[in-house]
Amino acid sequence: MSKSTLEIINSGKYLESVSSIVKNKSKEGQIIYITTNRLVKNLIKHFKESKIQVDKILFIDCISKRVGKIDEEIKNCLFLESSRSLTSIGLAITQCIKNLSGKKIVILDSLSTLLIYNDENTTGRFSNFLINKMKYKEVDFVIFALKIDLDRKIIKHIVSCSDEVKEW
Amino acid sequence: MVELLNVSLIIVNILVLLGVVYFSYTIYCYNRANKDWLVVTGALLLMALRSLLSLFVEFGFLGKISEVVQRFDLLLFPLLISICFFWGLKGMKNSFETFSVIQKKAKEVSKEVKK
Repeated sequence: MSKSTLEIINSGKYLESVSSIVKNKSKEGQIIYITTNRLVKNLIKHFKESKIQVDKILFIDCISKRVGKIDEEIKNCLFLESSRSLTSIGLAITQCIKNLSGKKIVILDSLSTLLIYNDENTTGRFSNFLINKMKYKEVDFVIFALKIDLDRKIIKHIVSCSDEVKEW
Repeated sequence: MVELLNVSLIIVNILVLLGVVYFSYTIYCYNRANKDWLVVTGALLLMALRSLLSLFVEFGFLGKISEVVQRFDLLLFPLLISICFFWGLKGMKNSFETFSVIQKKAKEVSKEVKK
């Protein structure tokens, strides 16, 4: 059965925590990683340093196009216009899930960044839609959120719809 | 008799248009992120308003300003409606193009990962 997990991460050790989660999850299945706050190029570099097999991860990058730094050599990445277009992100996730076989894990990095680009209600509706969609598709779903955002209404809402909440 | 038929047709038109506005708004609610559809809804609302004004003119509710309203109805309203449709549908077209590109790219990227 699929599981949705909210990972509350301390901003001080963000990359270490993210790498650790991705490393563990990559053993369980195929990862679809949505990055909204770090360029995929930097993320891949960091993951490689943490000895994570990055060519088996499908990245969806919502930031590189916005800052004009697309690396055409990264073949396993789908570049989207921005973190504002939640419809595009949703569509990209759905299509990637459809085209990949075996057990899949979708990682959304992060709810805190989506909240910078979109208002709280829209982000809440989108997260709720994704959680339910992943459940329906039987895909594990991991959402990252910063510890400093714990008091926000939306995080409390996501806590209530997630199967598991972990703090780092 | 002809007048009654005219008024009835205008009322039916307003009711149908209000229904269209309602459905257009519910479509927008499925995808609130895309504001362009709201402009199309606005154009439909303007069409309903236009019919409502012509009904008021027909009943003589507007008195002296009916001439001004008719002038607006002839020139400004159709232009506003056309601009709203143009803007909204252009935005929707761009969105649909983006979506089809995403679908295609997602397929390609998935193949790269499978290798």
